[in-house]
Amino acid sequence: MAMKKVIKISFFSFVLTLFISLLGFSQTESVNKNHLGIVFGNSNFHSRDQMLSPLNYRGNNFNTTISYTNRRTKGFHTAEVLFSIGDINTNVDHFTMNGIRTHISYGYRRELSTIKLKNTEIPFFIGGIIKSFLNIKISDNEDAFTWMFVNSLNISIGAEYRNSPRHSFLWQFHFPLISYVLRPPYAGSDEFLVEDPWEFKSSRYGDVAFINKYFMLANILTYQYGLSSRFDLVVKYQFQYHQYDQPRSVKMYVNLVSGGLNFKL
Amino acid sequence: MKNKLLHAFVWVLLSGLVACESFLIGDEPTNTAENNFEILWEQFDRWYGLFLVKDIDWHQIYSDYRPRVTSTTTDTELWQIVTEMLEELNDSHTEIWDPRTGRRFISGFADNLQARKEFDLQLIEQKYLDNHFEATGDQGMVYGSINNEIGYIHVFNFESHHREIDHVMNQLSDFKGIILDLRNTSGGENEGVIGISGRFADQRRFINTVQTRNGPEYDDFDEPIRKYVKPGGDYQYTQPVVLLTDRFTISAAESLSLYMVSLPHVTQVGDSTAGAFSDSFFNRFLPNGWIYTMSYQLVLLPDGTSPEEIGVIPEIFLKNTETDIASGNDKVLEFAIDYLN
Repeated sequence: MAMKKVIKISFFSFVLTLFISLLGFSQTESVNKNHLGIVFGNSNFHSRDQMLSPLNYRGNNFNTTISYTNRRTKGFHTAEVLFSIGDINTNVDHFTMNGIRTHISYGYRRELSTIKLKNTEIPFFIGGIIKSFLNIKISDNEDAFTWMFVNSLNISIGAEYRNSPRHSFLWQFHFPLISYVLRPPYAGSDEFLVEDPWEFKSSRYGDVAFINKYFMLANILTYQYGLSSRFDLVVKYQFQYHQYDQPRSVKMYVNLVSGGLNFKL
Repeated sequence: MKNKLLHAFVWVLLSGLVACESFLIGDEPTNTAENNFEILWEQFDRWYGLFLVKDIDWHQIYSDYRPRVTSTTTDTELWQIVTEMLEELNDSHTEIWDPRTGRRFISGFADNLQARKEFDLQLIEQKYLDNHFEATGDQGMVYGSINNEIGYIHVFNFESHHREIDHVMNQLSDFKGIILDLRNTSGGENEGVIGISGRFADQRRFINTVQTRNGPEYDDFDEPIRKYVKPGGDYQYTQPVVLLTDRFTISAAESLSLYMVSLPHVTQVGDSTAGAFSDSFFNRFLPNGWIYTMSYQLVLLPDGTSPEEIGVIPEIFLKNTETDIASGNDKVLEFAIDYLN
C-alpha cells in the first residue's frame, strides 16, 4: 500500500481518537469516579509461529493485570497493564520454551445509546484504545527465540448490564483499525551485523498493517460485585486472538480467567 | 426472541473457550516419517540462503530422496535418508540432532574432522612454547612466547567476546612477530572477530558483504551490509604476523581469517579454512523431536565471489600428517617460526 495512503489513514485515525477523547473530557460531568484494580488469574495460551517452527505451542500461565478506570456520566477512561509469564510446550517434551506476554493500553469509551431490557437500561459504548502488545518466546536450552511487538489503534464497542446497585456486567469487544507490527526479520535476528547502531533499519522489522494483514480481536466480559463502599470484587474473562500474515506469520490466542479487587479512590 | 438473542450473545462471549486449537491456529503437525521429511525439506526451501551460490537444485534433491520415505520408514531409516540429503549441501552450518538419542550430524564435516587429528595444542605447549604460557581468564585463548622472540596465540573458539585480547597483546607487544593460530578453532560470536582483528588492523579495510535471506525465493536477500576490519584497542601490532589455519578453522574463525589476510603484514600458512561463512539459524524443531539449523546468509567477497565451501585459501599451503603429530612434530608451526626468524 502506498505510504501516502497509510499516512492519511493513520492521521484520520489519530484525529478520530483524539476527538472522541476530547469529547469525553469536555462534557460537564456530574459523575467522576476513579477505581484502581488488580486481578490475578490463569492464561490458557496457544500459538503457532513460523519464525520459530511449524509446531503448536500451548501453556497455562499466571497473569496479573493492574487497571485504572475513570468513570464519567457518559463514558469512561481506562488504562491497563497486563503481564503473563510461564512455560509453553509442544507435544515434544524437550521443546519447552518460556513465554512472556504483556500489554499496556489506554482508552476512552463513550455512551452511544441505551436499550431497555426487563426495565433495566443497558448503555452501549463505542471508543478507541491505544495498545502496545509484546509477545516473546525464548528457549535458553535450544537457542531459539521469536517475538512480536504491536502498537495499535483499536476500535472498542461494549455494553454494560447493571441489574442492581451491587451487580454489573461489562462486555467489551476490541479490534484494530491500524497497527505497527514488529517481528524478527525473515531469517532471524541479524542486528549484530550492523556495527553502527544508528544504521538499525526498523523497516526490516516493522510493518504498518491494516486488519487484513494483522487481525486481532479481544472479547472481554467483566463481572463486578460491590463488597463495600470502597471495594468491588471483580471476575474477568478475556479471549484474545492475534493473526499476522505470511511470510513472518504467527497465530495465537489466549483465554484469560482472572479475579481480584477494584478499589474506589 | 429476546432469550434466543441472549443465548447467542453468551455463546459469542464464550466462543474462545469452546473454539478448538486446530480451528484457530491450525492442526498440530503429525509425527510421521513422511511429514517430518516434508517439513524439513520445506523449511530448508523457505529459509536456506546458499542454494544459488552452491548451485544446488533443491527440488531435484526432493525428487531423489522423497520416494525413499514411506509410511513404514523407521526412525533410523529416516535419519539415514535425511542426513544423506543434508550432506548434499556440504555446509558445516547445517546440522541436525536428536537430543533423546544423542545422534548429531553436521553436513560436509568429514574433511574438517580429519584436521582434528593433525593438530595437538598440548604438543605445542610442551615442545614449542617457553615455560611461561597462559590461558586467558575466559579460557578462550592460550598465549605465550617461542624462544622469547615470537609471540604465540591460539584461539579455542569465539564463544566469549575475547575482551582479554587487550591483556594478551600487552604481553606480546615487544616480540618481533606473532603467530596467530586458528587451527582447530570453531565459531561463536562476531564480537571476538572484531576485537582481535582490530588489534592488528593498520587501517579500515573493506572485507566482505553479508546479506540475509528475506523471502520465499532463493534470491530474496536484504541489502548488503558492508563489513570492515578497522583498528581497535590501545595500539595496533603491525610487525609480521603468521596466521595458521586448517580445515577445522570454522565459521567465526574463518571470518577472522578473512579479516586478517586483508592486512599487508599478515601471511596465512596451513590449509584452507572450512568454508562456512554464513551465520546459522536459530534452532528449529520437528514433530519427532529432532532439532536442526542451517545457513541463511550470503557472504560475498569484494570481487563478488562467494567463499562458501572454498574457505580462505592460504598463501603458503602446508599440512601436518597424523604421523607428524604422533612423532611430536608440528611442521606447520615450525615453518611459521622459521618464517618469522
